[in-house]
Amino acid sequence: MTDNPPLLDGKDLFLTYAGCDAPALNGISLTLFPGEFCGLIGPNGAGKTTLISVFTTLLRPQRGSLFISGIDTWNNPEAVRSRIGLVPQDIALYDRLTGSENITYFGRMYGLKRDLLEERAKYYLDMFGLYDKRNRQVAAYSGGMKRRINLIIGIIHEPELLFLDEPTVGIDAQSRHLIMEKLAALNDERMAMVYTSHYLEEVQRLCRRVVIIDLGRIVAEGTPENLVAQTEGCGDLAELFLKKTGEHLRE
Amino acid sequence: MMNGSKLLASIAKELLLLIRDRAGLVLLFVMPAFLVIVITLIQDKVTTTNVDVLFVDNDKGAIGAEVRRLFGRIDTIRLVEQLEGNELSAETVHSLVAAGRYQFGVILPKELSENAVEGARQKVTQHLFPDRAPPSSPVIPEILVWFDPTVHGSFRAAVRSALDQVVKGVQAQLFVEHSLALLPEKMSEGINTQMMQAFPLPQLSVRELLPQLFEETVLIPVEEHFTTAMGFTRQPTAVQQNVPAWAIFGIFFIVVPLAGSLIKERESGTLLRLRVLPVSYLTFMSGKIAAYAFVCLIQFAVILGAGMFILPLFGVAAFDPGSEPLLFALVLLSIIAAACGYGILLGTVGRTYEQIAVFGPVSIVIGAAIGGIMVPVYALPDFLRPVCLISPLYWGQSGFYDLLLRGGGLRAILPETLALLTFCLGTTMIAWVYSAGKRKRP
Repeated sequence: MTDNPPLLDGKDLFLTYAGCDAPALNGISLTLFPGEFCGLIGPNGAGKTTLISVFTTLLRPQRGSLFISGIDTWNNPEAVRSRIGLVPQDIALYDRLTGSENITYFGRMYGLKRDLLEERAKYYLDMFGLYDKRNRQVAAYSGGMKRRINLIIGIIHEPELLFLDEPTVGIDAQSRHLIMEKLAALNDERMAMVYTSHYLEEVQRLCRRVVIIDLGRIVAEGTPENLVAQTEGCGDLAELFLKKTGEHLRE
Repeated sequence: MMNGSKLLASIAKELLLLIRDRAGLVLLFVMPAFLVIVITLIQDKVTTTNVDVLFVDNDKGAIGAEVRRLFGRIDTIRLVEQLEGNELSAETVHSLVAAGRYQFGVILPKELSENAVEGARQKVTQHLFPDRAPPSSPVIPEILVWFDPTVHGSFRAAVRSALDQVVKGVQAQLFVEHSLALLPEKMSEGINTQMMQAFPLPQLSVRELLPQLFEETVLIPVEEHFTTAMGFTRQPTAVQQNVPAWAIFGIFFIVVPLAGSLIKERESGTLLRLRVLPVSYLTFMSGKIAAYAFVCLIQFAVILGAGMFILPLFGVAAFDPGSEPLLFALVLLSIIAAACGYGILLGTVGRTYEQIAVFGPVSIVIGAAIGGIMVPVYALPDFLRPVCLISPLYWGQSGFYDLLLRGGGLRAILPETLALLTFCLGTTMIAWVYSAGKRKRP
């Protein structure tokens, strides 16, 4: 994996929000390679969403450099945007459009041609069990169905790197299981992923690499198994997480 | 950079969203048309409808007859002397006006004409023969006018002016009559008695000499003409004035759904998702503006249809869109652009839908009020009149009026269309700068 050039190469990323004393990102450096499945975990306010926002070109830090697929993110954000995908935590869909119409709209915004878009929409709707319900308005979908459409839109252009911000919040076990199974399959097809979640068992199950961040810094990094084994008194990722970030409340 | 395919996708998405909100769409199309019909009918009928004036003639003399004759010639005033077959009394008139059931009551007192005749005779005598001892002048009773306090000044002025005309006419008539009657006596003062006996002066009577003098004669005619710098002479009607004015008002209401759609996109996270996509702000906003502009065009077509085909069903003139369709379209598109620009600005700066749902309509009503849509600019108070220049609704209305009422061409409408397009550009730029500033701000 390390023989390939890095897909994401961020160095010394530093960002402080206006009016805040403490930096949200305090010199974070992170490198990702094609096909990696990286779990990004941390307590609330640790800087996960800020880091995802920087990676997805939504925010520009005051310091540091970021290259995605070798492209300087600050100088050429549009080129980067067509190579990455984002599955936001919010269900970012148009309620009054059908599932199919939502996919078509965002697909065309990615610049996909009509035939390819139709083919991909059919493929992913089928993969996520929504093909039969594609012509229903999203407002009539269940929470799990909305999450699945939300995910399909993030991958419809088949990005090299996909950012998933808590993609399974508030859905039933069946939908969660399906989403995790399909994400693993997509990763097997070499789509790199950065996955943030508060469900640590999901992260442990899916991710081959885990990055724990707190107070804008990386506090631990490695495979879940190694991290757990190297830390004394930890039986799983949840115990490791508490050990690294402390047990006090953050909000 | 603008991408055609993405722009089309954006337009299609906006139109689909609008079509799916059928109730909202119907309101968007039907309400402004309904507004135009109602306001135009009201404005048209306000100037042509009859005002009922309760009338009690206790005088039964010449003045009562003159009131009937003159008021009968005024289209907007109708005298009511009986209700349900019963003659009105002064008390009934007072209570009906006080209750607000009628707006005016005019009561002529007893012996008004008789006393007025005697009063006029004594005044003329006093002027012609100042040496004579003045007789005791009769007390001329007042004509009583009751009016409802809710009546607007213009209506009150119209009734008062008609009554003044009657009073002045009767006075003039009486003075002339008495002057003619006393003229031989005045002339005889300088002639000796033998001459008078040999050549007696004739008795003069205005009714015999000039029987029609006070009835139908119009000595100084008044002719109304409309004048414009462009030499246009078409008769302005309530329809020609109201349809464009209220259509502009309706078009500007597009800001609420337009700004609302932006806020909903921001709240749902779709706007954030779009920012991660390889699509420019220009393409995204252009798609939105194009879709909403299309809706405005349909809305205007509905209003135009109402003005041309529905209003005539109520007995008023049909709206005439003029003979310059290209210039008409230019003014219309400039108004739509300005409304869309304002909607984009509100949707960008507004934080919640509730904020713009209140601020948007209120700001449009204020713009309409100071811009001469609700009250003509010339009727605004002095301190407000210059303020109309800051209202885009005024620019739009002026553009249409230049075209439809003053018969102007491209040169006439250019200042207004440029102002509207600049407003669109300015508001969109402010929205873009504001939005970009927010995006870049960590």
